[in-house]
Amino acid sequence: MKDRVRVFSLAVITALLATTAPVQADEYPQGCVDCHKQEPGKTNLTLNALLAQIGHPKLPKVKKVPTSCGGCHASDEGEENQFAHMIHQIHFDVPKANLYTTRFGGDCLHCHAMDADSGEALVKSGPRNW
Amino acid sequence: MKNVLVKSKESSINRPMILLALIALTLAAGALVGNKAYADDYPNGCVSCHVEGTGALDMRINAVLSRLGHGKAADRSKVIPAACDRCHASSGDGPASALRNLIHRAHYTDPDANLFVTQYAGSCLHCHAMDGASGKASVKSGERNWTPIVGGEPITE
Repeated sequence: MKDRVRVFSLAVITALLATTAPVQADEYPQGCVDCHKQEPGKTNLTLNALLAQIGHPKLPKVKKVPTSCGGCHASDEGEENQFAHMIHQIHFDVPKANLYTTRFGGDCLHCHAMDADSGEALVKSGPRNW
Repeated sequence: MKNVLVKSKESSINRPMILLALIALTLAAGALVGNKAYADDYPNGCVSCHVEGTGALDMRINAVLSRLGHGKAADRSKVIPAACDRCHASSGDGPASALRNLIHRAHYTDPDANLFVTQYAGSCLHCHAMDGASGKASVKSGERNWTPIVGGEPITE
């Protein structure tokens, strides 16, 4: 009986800890490259591998992602083919079938960061991982 | 021996039932998760969350602004937050600071204590909508949910 009480108490404490874990912990501090990576035994999801599959030109000049993408892809407000819109489309179109929303949680804060002091929403970035 | 046979027969009957129950539970859980991920609990943004409540603190925008000492502008605002742009232009050119940064700060400063984060899950999509087909992110809006008071009199429209 004592063991059951102990197991039950442990389960309750674990559940409480899980629900009170820091809300703001950032699993993807570098944005794109934190998700798009190559893991042993899994499909290569690095951006150069994915882009090669869809016939995108090679990326010799890309050092920081997605900052370097701005060399060709404009993100100015009012631009018809904004890079921001394209990335949103890729990750949010058909949400019931889109892997980003169905398997990876599909949260804005995977790619964006909120600077609470200034109130600016930012795009995370990181060095290329290929 | 007879008992063993009976027991074995019962098991073979129960196994498919248990499997069916498990499949049904899995499908139900999947449906619940799916709905939770895509249903919009706050289709009108600000006014979907900032409501009068039942017995708790009045969280409507006009009440919150009044407690903060904000002017009476809330009574002239019909569509929220579009009307706020009159003074709080998001370009930064208005007479008051840009609404976008102000609202982000109000909802994300001190995330360990901020009610938006700690009690309301603090998601960008509470206030913003994402049109997956065009890739455009927008700000949700809705009509004010309070009766404006002008010259001490409630105005009904």
